[in-house]
Amino acid sequence: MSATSTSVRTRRFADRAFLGLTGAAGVLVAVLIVAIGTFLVIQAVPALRADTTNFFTTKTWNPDQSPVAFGIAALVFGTIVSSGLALLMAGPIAIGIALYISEYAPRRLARPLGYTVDLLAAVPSVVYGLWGLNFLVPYSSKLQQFLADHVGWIPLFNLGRSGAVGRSVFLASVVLALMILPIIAAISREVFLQVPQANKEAALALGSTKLEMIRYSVLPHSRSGVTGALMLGLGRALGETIAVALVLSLSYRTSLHILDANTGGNTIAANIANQYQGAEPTGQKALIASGLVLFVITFGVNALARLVVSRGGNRTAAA
Amino acid sequence: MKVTSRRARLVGVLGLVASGALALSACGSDNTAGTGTPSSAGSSVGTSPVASTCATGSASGGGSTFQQNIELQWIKDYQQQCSGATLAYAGTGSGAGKSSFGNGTVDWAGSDSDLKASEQAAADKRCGNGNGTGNRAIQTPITAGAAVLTYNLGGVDNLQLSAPTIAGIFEGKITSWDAPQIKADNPGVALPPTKIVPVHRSDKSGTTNIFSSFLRADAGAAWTLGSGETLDWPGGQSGNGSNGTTTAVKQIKGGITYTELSFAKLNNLPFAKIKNAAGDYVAATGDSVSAGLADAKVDTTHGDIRVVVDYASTNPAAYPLSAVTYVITCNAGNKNAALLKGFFSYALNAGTAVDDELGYAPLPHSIATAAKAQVASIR
Amino acid sequence: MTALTTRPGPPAAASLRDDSGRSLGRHHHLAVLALVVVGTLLLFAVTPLQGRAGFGVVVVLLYAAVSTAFSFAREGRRRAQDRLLTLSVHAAVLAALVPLVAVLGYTVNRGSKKLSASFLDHSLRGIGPFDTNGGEYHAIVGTLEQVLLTIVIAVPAGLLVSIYITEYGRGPLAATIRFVVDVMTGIPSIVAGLFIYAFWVLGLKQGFSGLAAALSLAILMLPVVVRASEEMIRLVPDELREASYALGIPTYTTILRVVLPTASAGITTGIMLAVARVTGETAPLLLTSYIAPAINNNVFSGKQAALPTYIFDQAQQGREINFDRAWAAALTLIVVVLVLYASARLLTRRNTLARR
Repeated sequence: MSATSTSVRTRRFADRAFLGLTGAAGVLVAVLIVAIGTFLVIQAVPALRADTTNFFTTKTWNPDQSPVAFGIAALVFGTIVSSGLALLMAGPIAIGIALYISEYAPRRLARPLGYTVDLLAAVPSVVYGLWGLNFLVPYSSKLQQFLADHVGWIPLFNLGRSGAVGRSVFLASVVLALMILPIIAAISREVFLQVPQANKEAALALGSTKLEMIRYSVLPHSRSGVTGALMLGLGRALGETIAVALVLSLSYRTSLHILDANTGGNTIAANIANQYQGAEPTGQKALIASGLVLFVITFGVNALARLVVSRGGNRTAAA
Repeated sequence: MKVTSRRARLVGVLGLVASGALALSACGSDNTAGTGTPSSAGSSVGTSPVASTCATGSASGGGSTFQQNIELQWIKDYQQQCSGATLAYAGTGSGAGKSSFGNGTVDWAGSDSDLKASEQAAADKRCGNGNGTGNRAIQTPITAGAAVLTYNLGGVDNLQLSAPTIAGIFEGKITSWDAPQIKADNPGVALPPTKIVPVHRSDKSGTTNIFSSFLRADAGAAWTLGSGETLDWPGGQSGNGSNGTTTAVKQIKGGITYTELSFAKLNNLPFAKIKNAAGDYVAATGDSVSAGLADAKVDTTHGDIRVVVDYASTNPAAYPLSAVTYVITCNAGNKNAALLKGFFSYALNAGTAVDDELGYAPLPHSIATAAKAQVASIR
Repeated sequence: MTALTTRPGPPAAASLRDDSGRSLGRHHHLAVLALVVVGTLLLFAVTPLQGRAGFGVVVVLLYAAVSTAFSFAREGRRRAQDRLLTLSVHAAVLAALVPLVAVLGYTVNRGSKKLSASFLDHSLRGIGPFDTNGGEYHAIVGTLEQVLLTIVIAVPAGLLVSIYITEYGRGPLAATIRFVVDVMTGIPSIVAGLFIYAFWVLGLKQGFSGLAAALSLAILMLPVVVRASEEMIRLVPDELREASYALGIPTYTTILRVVLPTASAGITTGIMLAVARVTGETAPLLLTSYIAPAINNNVFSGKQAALPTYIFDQAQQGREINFDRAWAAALTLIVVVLVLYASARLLTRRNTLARR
């Protein structure tokens, strides 16, 4: 069946048109992101110039007063502390539950458990924040007081001179931990399930206990994937706005007394949500500057995750 | 063939969802009257006389949480009488209200504090100033009210506080409820040794402005933080909006915060009697607020009506934390001037009937008259 | 087949002799548990420790310690370590599932209190501060319209970009686009919202609207769609493509008639997962469509309520009735997300290209 020359030309034209369309879409998207970045940077610069204090070391946030003085020290501190604590709390537990599903659970339990974890990963963060505010804040004060009373010799859990438990950085970290736990668990489970059965059976055949099998067959194979999962969870926690805004008593103080609600804390994202409406032009630009810093931090974490995952040679669907 | 049937099934499902969504969009109702059971307080409030001009259109305001509750009540009553009007008010804080007005994202701002120079400039620009018109943003007093000190101290509901004590609490110098200063303000009252947790506003707040101005005038050397919408608090917890601070106090044993009276009422929290400059401990009522505003002066130098409250009034019946709250609009060039005029004149006339129930007070007579005249002049 | 790693392998033969061959009895769990509970009760009676939660924690910790000690004494080091890991894993499951299921249970319990036909069918228009009526209809409409608009904006664009990257792109352009999309996946949702707020809402003076919300959600959804479809398209076997080309079918027809239909189930799954994620985003909505009490059917202009911002607004107001409304809306939102998620999972089963 030979095509006529006109229809061959039409086909070639259509081909090039389609190539042009998709290529244009790609270029457009790339240009869009660059434009977004450029716009944000252009907006941020005047505020940074107007700032009379060091942007990176100042704790207070007064961009709309004179003299203009604002800085992200307290914001970055709070962001890193709350997310880091959340990862510390959620990481081991998430890996534990992933191990359980892949290695320990009876098969009839493993499937529904896996689905439950997946579902929990899809629950919007505002629900966790709402639960934290409605349930954890009133009911966890006993636990927080217990920690303060009995573990208070560690400066971290000390309440300081006039501290009170409640809407503290610790509570915000707990809510963040709850939020990222299912995500880390879901991805880790996928990673563990990809370990070749043969490796595991070989270890068991040699007489190793389950721990040894996990240690020598499962973990080495999944190290990079699990690290990727942990970084993904960390990235989610770093960018979380609403859960923190609902649950944390916001201030611009940096303190290691994480149980103390009177000291409170702040994160970059929660600060933006709190301040954006009352911000005058300089204030808006200052918020954009802080948003850019957050973007850089999360981008760094994501890039590190991708590096680790690709080095490990693991094909995991890190979204 | 399997591919086609799978795809067909997917298309079918999506079509069902889409048509369901469309059907849903046709069956909802904005008419919330008669759904569920409004509380008895709610249904008795607001059967106000009809003398209002009904306009149509939609407008949204935002800002002061001080006036938030009465704004919501006015909106409810006005919309019940004028079904063609759709109004909304979001309590975001006086500072946010003024900024939003300057940005053009709200049609009117509620504010308890005056427009600063930079805010005035932005607001004027929004009204079209400099674009060949001389339009300006103007402040119109819309109601009076009381800022109260509300607290959570089980078993104690007749607390009395003086300005230096309040200053000491919020500066973190008085840390326990059984401190001698508080005992001195409350002779004969059994005070528990609970820790005090002061809660302040985390957003730019007109209520903070009222509170700090009062302390500046009445607390003498005990208050070092000055006055303004945001302060450099040395400690204490923070809440977003009056709702945030009041909720925080409700959850914290020993908590205390400053907020407008209606929030204390809505949350069933007690509030303290405050010592005025004449030496009397006065509770916040409509009458004591009127007494507190009796000495207020009016500043018309900005081309609108700004009230300067004397927090140190020696009127013995005065409640010292009395305040006037404003709505900010353009004097001309408002997008829905008729609706704004109708709504605000309703608020200033028939809307005063809900003052007592909600916890506000009527404006002093001369100020009310001037305000009504200014509203009538909005274009 | 992946070779065993070069890390040190299973323990050397010498330590296999640690395995004494003895083991604890089958009911040793119960014996240890009974012992530990009694011991903790005594401990609580003697020391100032108290509280049910504290009791539970101490029991678990003591059980772990005692059981491991017994195992160490009787079975040897290796088995003791193994038992400890088993205990830890089970404890992790409890520690994880208890609060998470509590959240879900609380949502269903408290949310169903207020959820009714009346609640679903009415808005918050004209609700006074003392009133307890009103519903979430306006928020449901807002979420549906905004998410639909987001899909319309993000999905075609995302598909086109992924097609370019996988089918056409071979040079530096494709690599650049892929890198840029990677960067985009890392945008915090609040920053996407802040951009639309500064650029569209304020800069272009468009004001708050559902369209602004859809734009910010599209920024978040686009890279996910690109990545998911890219993966799925890559999984289409090259043989299919080559067979198509061998028949003289041009590239664009191959893509549209062969590659895409084969990958469609996986792509649809990816899109639905992305939609599920984006439906629950609150922060960008706060800065773009804000909140509104009345129904706004026009997604292109005016503030529009949506479920996540409805929940946030009610939660901030903090009274009983507000929390009741917030939980009912949370339940609605979770149901919507659940339906999307379950449908996506059901589609995965039929995905012939799925890896697992």
